[in-house]
Amino acid sequence: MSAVGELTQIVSGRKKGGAKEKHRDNKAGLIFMAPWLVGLLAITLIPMIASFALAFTDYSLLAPPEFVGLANIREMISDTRLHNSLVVTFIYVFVGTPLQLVAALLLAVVLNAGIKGLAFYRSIFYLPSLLGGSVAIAILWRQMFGANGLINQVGGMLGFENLPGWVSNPDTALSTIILLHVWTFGSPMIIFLAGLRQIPEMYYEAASVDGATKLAKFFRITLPLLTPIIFFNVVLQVINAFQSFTQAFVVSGGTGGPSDSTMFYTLYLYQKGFTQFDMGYASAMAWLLLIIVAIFTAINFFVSKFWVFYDD
Amino acid sequence: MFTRRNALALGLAVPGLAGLAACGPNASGGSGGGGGEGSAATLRLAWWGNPTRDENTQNVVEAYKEVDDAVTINPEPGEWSGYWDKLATQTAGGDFPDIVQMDEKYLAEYGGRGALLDLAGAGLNTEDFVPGSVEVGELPDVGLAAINAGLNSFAFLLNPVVFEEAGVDIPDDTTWTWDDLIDTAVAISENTEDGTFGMTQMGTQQGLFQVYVRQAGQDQYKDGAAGFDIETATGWYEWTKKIQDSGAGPDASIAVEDAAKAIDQSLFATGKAAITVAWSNQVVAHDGLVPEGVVVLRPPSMTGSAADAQLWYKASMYWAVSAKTADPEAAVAFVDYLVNSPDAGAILSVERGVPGNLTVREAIVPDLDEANKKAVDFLESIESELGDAPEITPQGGGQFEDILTRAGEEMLFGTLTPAEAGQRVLDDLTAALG
Amino acid sequence: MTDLQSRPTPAAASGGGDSTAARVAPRPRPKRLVRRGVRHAIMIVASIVMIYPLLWMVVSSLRPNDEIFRNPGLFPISLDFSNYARGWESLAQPFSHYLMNSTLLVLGCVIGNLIACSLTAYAFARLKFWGRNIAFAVMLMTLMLPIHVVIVPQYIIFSQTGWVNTMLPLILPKFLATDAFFVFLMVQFIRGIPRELDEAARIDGCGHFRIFFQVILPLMLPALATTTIFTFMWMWNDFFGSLIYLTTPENFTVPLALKSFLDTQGSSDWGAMFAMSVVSLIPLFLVFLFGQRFLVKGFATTGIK
Repeated sequence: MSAVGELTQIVSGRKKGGAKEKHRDNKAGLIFMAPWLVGLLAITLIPMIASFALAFTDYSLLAPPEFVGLANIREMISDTRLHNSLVVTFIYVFVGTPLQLVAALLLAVVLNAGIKGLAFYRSIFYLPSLLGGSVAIAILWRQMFGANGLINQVGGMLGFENLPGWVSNPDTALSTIILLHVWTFGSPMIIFLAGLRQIPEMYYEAASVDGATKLAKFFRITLPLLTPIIFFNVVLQVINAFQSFTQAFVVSGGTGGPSDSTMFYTLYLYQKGFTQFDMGYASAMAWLLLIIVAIFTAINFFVSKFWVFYDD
Repeated sequence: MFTRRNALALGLAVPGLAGLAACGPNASGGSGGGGGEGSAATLRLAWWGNPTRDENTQNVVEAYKEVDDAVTINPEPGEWSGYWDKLATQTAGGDFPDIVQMDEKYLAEYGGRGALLDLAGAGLNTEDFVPGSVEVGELPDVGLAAINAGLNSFAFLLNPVVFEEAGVDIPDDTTWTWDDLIDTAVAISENTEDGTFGMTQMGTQQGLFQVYVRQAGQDQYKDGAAGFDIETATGWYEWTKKIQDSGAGPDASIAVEDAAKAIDQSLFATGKAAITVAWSNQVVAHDGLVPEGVVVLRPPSMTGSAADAQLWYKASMYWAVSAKTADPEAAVAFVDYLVNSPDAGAILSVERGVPGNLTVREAIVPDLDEANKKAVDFLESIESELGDAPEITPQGGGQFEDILTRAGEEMLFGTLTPAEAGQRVLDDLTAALG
Repeated sequence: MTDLQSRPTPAAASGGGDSTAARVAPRPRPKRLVRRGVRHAIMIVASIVMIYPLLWMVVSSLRPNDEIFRNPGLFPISLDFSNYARGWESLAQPFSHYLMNSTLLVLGCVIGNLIACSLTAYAFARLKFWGRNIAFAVMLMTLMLPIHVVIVPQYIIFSQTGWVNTMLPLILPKFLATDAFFVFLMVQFIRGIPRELDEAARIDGCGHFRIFFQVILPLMLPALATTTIFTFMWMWNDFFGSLIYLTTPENFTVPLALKSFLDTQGSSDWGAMFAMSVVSLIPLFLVFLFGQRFLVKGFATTGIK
């Protein structure tokens, strides 16, 4: 039974297997897990617990924290900018992530299918991800999607008149950032490619002997064997998208504007913590985010047992 | 193993740790040595800037070795937004640098929480400073929390080439009013090709807003709260809306894009707008970007008389010393060198703004280039017209520019009326100041 | 691992899928040609969309400062290399110094992640021990808090150890498997390896360490390559962590140095910034080109069938 499998069972409330069999490798486990345990106790856990404790304080960073009970949480309930940032983030996660993953998977499969110049295309498609959150990209993006930018010039040639300034219009600014997100699909694509490469050749050979078509091989072999990797990408990309910060930060110059239309949750959290000196509130926000992300991750794990296929 | 009780204890311990660190005896962190009389001190010097300023400052640090070779100064340069994230984190960790460059926006945040040393009490000499230029660093509970590193005032910048193209004369800045400004801009917009404007959208400029409210007999802040009323805020947004509606400036979309761009990419720098606004230490940057250089004018007044323009000298930035520095004497001595020594002035020039120290200013002005002279001349020309010094931005006021911008943008896009935007600004500012 | 690398790998050099394509029954020629043409046409158009920003960056880095923003297009191309000369020299240290710092940082992080994450992942994927599920859930949770709230407490910890302004706060955590992303990634890859292989090794009397080093590690080469590429890329571009922990210019990394060219309130040296951005992309791209050769190894080419 694997970790992921068991976690799924915990979530779904099923358990099987005796306790003895379950704890067969306690000693080896401790040895292999040692670096992680030390890291957890010394580096990761203390800041997490501290941030949880700080959620109940008024902490300016510049002076010691003061306990304020549930004041931060009460404030969050009535903070309309926070509610707006949740809406913005949800749109981003539920539109951007599926689009990005589908693009990544499609291109990974195409690039894996023996097209000439594979290495070349793979490199090209990965380039945007290397540039990712750089200042240069932010400048170019604002220029391309500006009122007189490249996109509108092309649109004008195609006969579209009076196109808006995409980045500066509150109705369209978020979509340009989603587009930027989709466009940097290189990372999940690489993970898909690595996953595709790990599928044993023998399965395809056996299927060829049976006379299976290409499409049948894709649906009967490639897709099922790739599901652990697809699952990984879905889980991690959802977690990452909820915490998306850099792209909105660079494209909007850190403001989340125009009119908060690109004010992502973590961007607002960052502003609260660092520019408004309210780290207590930021910590409370962080734990709300953790709860939201944890719920979605748990759902992902629960649903995974219906579609993820493990060879073990 | 990890029990719940342990977790609880840790959770309580860490904020305590943060508190301890912030108050601890080793507060100046990695600075090492230091301390006693005449012994070698190591000081950390932090600032934000650009490659020119970084180089100037490194050179001053080098030059200081001639003055006092027992002191080692470790430079910690940074870039504006990262600088503040880092400074806040260091403060939390009890690692506040010994000497920091400070901004008016955050002076009360740090000073009001006891992070900064009273420079006057520590014996910093401020005799040669222009009247009004020292007070802008004073905080009620601290004393002289920071010393002016350069003077600034709010100015209008004109691109004479665009004026010429439009056949419009450059207005007389001793008599122009806010409406004259818009009329001039409309004339330019109409007499130039599409996409060129008389002025940029100035409704989101905090400096200009401050000029406006001061002329209405109020100010941004009064006694730590908002110092203006709803009528004034509404009046400001009505004026802002007029820029857009009259065609004097660009529409909302282009204005928002323009505001997000760096100086080099702006409408003004690319010759697409004839008039913009800036702090006077940015005159040089703008001057290099337009073909014939910029013309610097006073902001308009409500009465048509420059005497009522209510301008003031703002510190473009300050120097401040950590309240917990291991060696206050050495730190203050270095700050003294920075602001009072003509040698240091010669190296730093007016890159941080025009020196408030008159001796230093006199020593360096003759060697300035054309663009820098414009800034100095402007500051000197308004000296007799200055209004009272404004109150220092209170804690929480650092976000006022964002508040002003957000309401302004919503108004320009038509989701708020000027009156609603005025109310929004007042509400949000009041909430921010807590 | 060495014996794997010395094997001839035609797939790596010429596009891994050729062998698959060759086995597909031949189709009527013209139709096949058209299809291939269409496929390449789509790929080329897509490539242009993907590569345009890079081209723009390179072209901009060769323009004088005042031309960069006046001309949003790619043409005319000027060949003014002064940005490169200026960018290389105009900061407190020559730019090579920052490249070297970044290289050291990244190498430390890559080694740390490869060792620590693979050990942890093996335990999660193959071992049965007390508390594993909770540990796994806790590990995932560490991914869910934004860095902005954990960095301050973390800074306080590292400040007590006196490691601020060294690379230790950035590298050491990688040796302690704090990058849960890669642990989870490797767990998923290990689970894709048929269990019969380690069962067979166990029957031969191998302990966990031998199974890990001799069976699992060679087979998860694609995951290790992915980890290397990503760690390299993320740490090479890492801004916030480096910003907080590295304070003096002699310790600055490339992203901090690039920011030094910019002044949000005054005049920025855009040309130098673009030029050095291009320079700093080169190592990144080379690592990707090199690393992706290992992505295509795996079962397909290791000969285990």
